[in-house]
Amino acid sequence: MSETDGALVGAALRGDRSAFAELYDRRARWIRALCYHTTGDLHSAADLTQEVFLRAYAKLDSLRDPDCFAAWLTGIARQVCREWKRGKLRDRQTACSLAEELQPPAREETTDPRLETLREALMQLPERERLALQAFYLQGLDAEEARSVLGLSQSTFYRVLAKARERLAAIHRRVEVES
Amino acid sequence: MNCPDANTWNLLSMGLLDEARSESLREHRKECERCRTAWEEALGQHSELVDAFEAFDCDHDRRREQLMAMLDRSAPEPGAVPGRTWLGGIAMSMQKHKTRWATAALAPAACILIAIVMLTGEKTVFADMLEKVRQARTMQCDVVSTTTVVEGQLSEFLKKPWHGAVSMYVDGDKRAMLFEMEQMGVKTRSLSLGNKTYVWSQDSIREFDTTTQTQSAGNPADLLNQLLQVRESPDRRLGEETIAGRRAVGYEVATWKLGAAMQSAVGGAMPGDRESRLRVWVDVEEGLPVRMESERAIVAPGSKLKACTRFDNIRWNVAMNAEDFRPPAKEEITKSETIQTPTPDEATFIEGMRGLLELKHKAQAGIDNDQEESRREERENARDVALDREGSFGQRIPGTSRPVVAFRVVQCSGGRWPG
Repeated sequence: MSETDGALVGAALRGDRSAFAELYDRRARWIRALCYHTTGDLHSAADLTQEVFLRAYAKLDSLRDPDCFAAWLTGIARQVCREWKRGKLRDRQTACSLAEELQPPAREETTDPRLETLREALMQLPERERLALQAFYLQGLDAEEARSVLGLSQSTFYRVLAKARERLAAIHRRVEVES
Repeated sequence: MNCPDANTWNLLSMGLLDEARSESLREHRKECERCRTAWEEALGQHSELVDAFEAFDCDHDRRREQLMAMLDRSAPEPGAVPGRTWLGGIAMSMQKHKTRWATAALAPAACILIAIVMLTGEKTVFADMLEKVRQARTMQCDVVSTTTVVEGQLSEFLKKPWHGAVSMYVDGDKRAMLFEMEQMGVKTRSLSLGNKTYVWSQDSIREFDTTTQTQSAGNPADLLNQLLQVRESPDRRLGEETIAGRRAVGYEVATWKLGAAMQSAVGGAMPGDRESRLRVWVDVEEGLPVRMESERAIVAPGSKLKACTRFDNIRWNVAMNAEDFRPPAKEEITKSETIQTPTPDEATFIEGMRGLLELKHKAQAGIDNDQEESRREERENARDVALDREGSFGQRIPGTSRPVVAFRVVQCSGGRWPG
């Protein structure tokens, strides 16, 4: 049986790096998806994810309830994404005039076409539904894990998830009709 | 049993219903065609989502290794809080005791002190980086280059970005560079060994014997040269970023500050050009660049372009495979050419630039006066000049069929350039 997040956090605090690696394996996809929603670029999202885990490692002992690691990590990810956005804005303000028209060249090589489609659809969902879908599909299709990350009750989580799927199907139908 | 709604089928496709409920639904859909369709839709969507979300695996293992390596190298033990600086300590103490007058008095002094420390620090970090680059033996990176139009027009082909990868090693004064690129589905491989350059393109292997190294802003070897020409401390600090899992600090240098000879070679700073930039992101731990970016303004009659070449994910002193740098056998070479063009000295370069600017004015006049056909031709010719500036003065650009020689431009008249 796999160890809980809490047990892994405890081991990591005792200096067990492999425990932290296990936490990374469990949660990195989820964090990457959250960051991707902000960056729109998988490469940058992966960079931000590493930043999130580095910060988490440095502050691990400030985590009050180790079993809430995923939710705590999500909070760090949100903060990092906010900082990333602010940094972007700051760069835009100070960059020379030419840079205003500079296309992000890396986007083409770092963005999966499946993700582009998915991102466009997810952007149209309410945040709670989007997060529910992401949590479920990125936590190994484990509803219990996913709902604990979001801090929702089982019934609420199922309801939100089903609603998200229904809305997503409607979006797909609309896109098909339009195209 | 009544037909269940779409949500139920969605939950079933995700495996979220208990076994008894699942079984009854399976039984029901055997008899109900409408529900079978609803089930297939739900299952299809579920599979698509599973597939799409798999993209977030994105290099997961390599990224984990990088992260763990970073923790091994530099991170403190979990939970360790970085030590406070003495200045931070004073600030905290003052805040605690609410000594506002003291804060007001000391704040300007602190700002000046911080500025001095930062500026001195930048110069040192940048100088250290240059020294490490000089000492590096091997380098690998990815390259992407884009050309955008600021004014005027550009063909769709030239607008398409190209992507490539570079491997390079330095052995004494000799440099070997392997450059693989792709644009519009066409792959080209170029290997430079001293004065020889081999270009694999489609079914041919061409050999160029050059008397001088080819220089261009899209050429990593020359980006390094460019970098090493920086005589000043950087103009601007761009802040910290995580690049390919590494913490890096960005710096920007205006290209016109580079050595005069390099300005011509890198296709950047024409006289008066204040727009071209070189940006370098330096790994905080290793002190070596992880990303370099050259942004250049290209001015041609009737158009103003901007070319950006980014060398990303740069790895230094990595092990390389000698086989990759093996030149082709003699019998494999389709065509062999010798290009003997000396590197221009500064006086010749200045003369060349004057001629080029004069011709630019003539060409512009020609464009204004001629018929549409003529204009198209001029624009084509103008592109040659732009390409020339991408390359080096008096040198052929490897991988292209254009023997662009800048000094012939001086002799041209009527706004028409030789091909």
